[in-house]
Amino acid sequence: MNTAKLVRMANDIAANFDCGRDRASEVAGVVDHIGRFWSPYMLDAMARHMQSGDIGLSGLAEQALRELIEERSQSAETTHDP
Amino acid sequence: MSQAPSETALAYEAYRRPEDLGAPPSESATMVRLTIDGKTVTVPEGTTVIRAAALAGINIPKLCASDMLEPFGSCRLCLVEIEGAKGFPASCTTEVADGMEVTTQNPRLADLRRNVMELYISDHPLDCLTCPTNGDCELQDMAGAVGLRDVRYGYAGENHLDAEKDESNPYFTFDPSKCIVCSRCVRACEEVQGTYALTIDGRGFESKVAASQDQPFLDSECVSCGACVQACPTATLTETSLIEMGQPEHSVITTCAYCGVGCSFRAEMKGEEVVKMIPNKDGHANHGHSCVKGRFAFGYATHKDRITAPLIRESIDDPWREVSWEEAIGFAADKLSKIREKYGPNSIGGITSSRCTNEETYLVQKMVRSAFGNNNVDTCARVCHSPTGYGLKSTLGESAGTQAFDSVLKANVIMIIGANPTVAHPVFASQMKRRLREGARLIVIDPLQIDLVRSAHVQADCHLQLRPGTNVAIINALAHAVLSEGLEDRPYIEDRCEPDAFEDWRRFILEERNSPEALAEVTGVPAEDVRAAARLYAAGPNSAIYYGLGVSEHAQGSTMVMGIANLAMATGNLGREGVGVSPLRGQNNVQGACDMGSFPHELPGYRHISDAETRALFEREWGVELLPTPGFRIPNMFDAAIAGHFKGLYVQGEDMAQSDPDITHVSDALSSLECLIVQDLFLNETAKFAHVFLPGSSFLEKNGTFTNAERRISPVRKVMKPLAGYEDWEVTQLLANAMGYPMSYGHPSEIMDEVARLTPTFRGVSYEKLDRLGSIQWPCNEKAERGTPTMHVDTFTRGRGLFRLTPYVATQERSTARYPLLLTTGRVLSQYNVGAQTRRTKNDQWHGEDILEIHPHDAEQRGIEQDDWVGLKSRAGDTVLRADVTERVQPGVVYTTFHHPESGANVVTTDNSDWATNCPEYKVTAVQAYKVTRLSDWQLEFGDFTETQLELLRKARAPVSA
Repeated sequence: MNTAKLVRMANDIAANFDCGRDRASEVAGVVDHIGRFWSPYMLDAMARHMQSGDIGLSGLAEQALRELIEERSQSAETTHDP
Repeated sequence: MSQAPSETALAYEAYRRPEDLGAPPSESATMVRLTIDGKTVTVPEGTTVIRAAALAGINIPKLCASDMLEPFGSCRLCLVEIEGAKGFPASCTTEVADGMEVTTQNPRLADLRRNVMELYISDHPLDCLTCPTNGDCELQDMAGAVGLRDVRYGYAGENHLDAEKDESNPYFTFDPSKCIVCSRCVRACEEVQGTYALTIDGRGFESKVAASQDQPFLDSECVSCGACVQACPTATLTETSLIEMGQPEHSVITTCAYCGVGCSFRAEMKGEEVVKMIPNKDGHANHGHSCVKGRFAFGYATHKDRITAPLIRESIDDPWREVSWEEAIGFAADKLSKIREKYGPNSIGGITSSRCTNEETYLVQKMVRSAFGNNNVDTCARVCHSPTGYGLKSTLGESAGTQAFDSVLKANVIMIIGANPTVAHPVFASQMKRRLREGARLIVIDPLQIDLVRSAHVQADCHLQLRPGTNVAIINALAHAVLSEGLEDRPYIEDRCEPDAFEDWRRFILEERNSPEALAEVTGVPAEDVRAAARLYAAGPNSAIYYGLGVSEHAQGSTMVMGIANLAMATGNLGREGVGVSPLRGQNNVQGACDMGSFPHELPGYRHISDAETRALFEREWGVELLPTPGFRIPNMFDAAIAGHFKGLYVQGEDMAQSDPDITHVSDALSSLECLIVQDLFLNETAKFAHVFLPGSSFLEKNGTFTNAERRISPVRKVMKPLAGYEDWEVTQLLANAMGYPMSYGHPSEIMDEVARLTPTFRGVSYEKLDRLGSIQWPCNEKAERGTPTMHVDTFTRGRGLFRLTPYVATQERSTARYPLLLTTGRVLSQYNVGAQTRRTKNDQWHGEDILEIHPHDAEQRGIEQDDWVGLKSRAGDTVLRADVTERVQPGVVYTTFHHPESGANVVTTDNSDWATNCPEYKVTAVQAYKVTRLSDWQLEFGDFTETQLELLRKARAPVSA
């Protein structure tokens, strides 16, 4: 999948939650949004991309995606994906 | 003993002229009692005598009076006697009074009426037997009603019998020799349509109906809505189809398949042929009015380009092969199953259509989630109103407009943002114009000088002509003005909204960066204009926002929708008639397609796929296990296709290869598929990349329902057999069965029953109730048995209203030295969306090609003159269009439409999209324009590809040699 596009999408999402206010709730907003609307396929592609060097994500986008990917890998350990 | 077989049939309604009570109803609550011909009648104060009589079943002869029009009093046929009153007052202009005693018929009245008719007929052709309206002519009926037997004046005197016909309009004929100058057409143009194209020219005997400056209809300001034709009591203005075919014999009430207004129509039929479409006076969305598309542009349904047999081929370079339904469905199912086996369960998907019925879209998403086994389903709302769904759901709690259309009649201030109702939602625009003529104030927020900014008897109080792409800046500035000037509705906010979120939002909006002064440079709108608009909106008392794709089709489409909801909440403008937030939906069933679970992340009724309880409900009913994670959106499907992971797609009634942005990318994606199945009326642009073509059915060929922009579910009724044998839902069912998932619906009503079982907001909807009530606005359930015209009345659907923060983030599409202009795209009145339907009607006479509008200043700089060929280039691609040099656009902005595939507007638009929903940013593309002498390379390639594909289609139809 075109990861440049995924990076742009994630950065756009983060920019719209970034109000220069409460960081924790902004991160939670991005995590919730991407979790609700991205297919697992896209998240997997993003997870692979984030293992590379220059990932091109804004600070807020990166923080949120790392949390989300961590959350997923934890829940994958405890449940069996169909 | 043998029994005679009983004759059974579900009867159509025999054709009859709709009842006309002679004057519109009075809204008064005070009742008045009078006697008419000795009969006691009780009616609201303000009712005219003619209507009171008609309500009592006494039909006073009339010609100039109609219940669609204000009383006029010119024909002198409806005169009556009133006890104690002098002379013979006209019953159409005389209001009832308590104790009034009216006589409608006696020898004196009979003589007078006969004398009036005698004068009319002395200057009227006596060709009744060969006249097009023979059998449905009010003049003829009145001559009969008054008993006219002789014309004492003879017919040799000066007359109008030789007046020349005007046949310039493709849909109706103007024959002035038959005109009685009753002014109904002129009044319909003014009062019903609001265009003021018609006048009575001259005086006395010279009086005649004239279009604009006495021009042919086609060249005049006439918008061809047909209200005048419908109003005409003679054969002066007559549908050309009626002239050709004669009177209809039965009629069926159905719903228009064009825009989101969803007008109700009487399809007036002869056998299976449509003679004319007449807007239904009992239609709750349109009240007897229509536009040029709905009334006249239905010829596409029987156009020669319709494909009526299934087609298959292995590769898009192969000729098509006409095959049986069985073979085509088998071929498609086999391909999809093999792809799934080879590339995994995520490699196939489907797309539902806003041009199809609720039942059909429901079935497609059901097939994808069950038979395909994933959530890779999306719909064309992705590219139009997906931000509406997201924005309104997160702030108010429901993904839909809050009002009924009729609500506008109680609005004091109307704010239109990024919408052009007179061309895209013309019938609602007429209703809006009526309210504006009554004195409602108007704020327009649009980069374009839309018609409503200044047109006949309408003038906007404020036009905030912002730069494309700065919507969120404007809405924040408006909110800042409201809060900084203390104009918010504190008690409403405290009573109905989440307090912490409001406080947070208030602090955010009051930051200096959101002030009108700080944002003036960004938006190009002077701060004082923004403040004036904010004061007007906040003052109300009833302020209503209407918005269109100029809000949603931006990089911050969803933010803007939330900003609109914030502003309405902050000023207390939600939860009653006359206010609200109303998205003007593009296609007829966008609302319905979204309601029916067409998005990859949610099940019908906007319930997220991760919600275990909802999933369990559907799993029980459908007998399958559902994936709890979202599937692909359309652009994700395309990206995955290009990456080689997504290989099979079923598309019902959509044309992404024309409508979606960055066409080159779309074409690449479609070419990467191993199996593309297109179900459509025509070999559309997308179908040129297909391996299976399944012929679709038009709205005239099937049963179902559409849901319009005001959440109104209206019946679509079959008036002719499907040309290819199946309604669209039946084709989906065949495919699902072939894929191994059994479906056995016998009628769309069974599908709606299933939707009602599974969806709380549809719980009370059934075909029986739709037949009974005519239409229903959801939510319709135990709490609202007859539906819900106004939402969020006491509380918001989500409980308390949620103010969401709306930071303005500038779009990445901005003008640069290389691309100094901003392209914004839109529509025209006569064409609809990709034009697949309207281009195959005579509507093409108004708009045969897409034109580039450019400001005289920008044109001059580039040496571009009117009608020159202009190259238009963006970072995505380039195309060539003809120029219209006009001040309708501001300097720095160019505008075009996307109704014709060869114009390639979407070759130029980019993949930039809304952050929340990926709705494309059609409204802002940085471009350069320059004079050229030939078509673009893309256009030349497109022409070749189209020719090749049409040749491959012709081969399917050619007789096979032995």
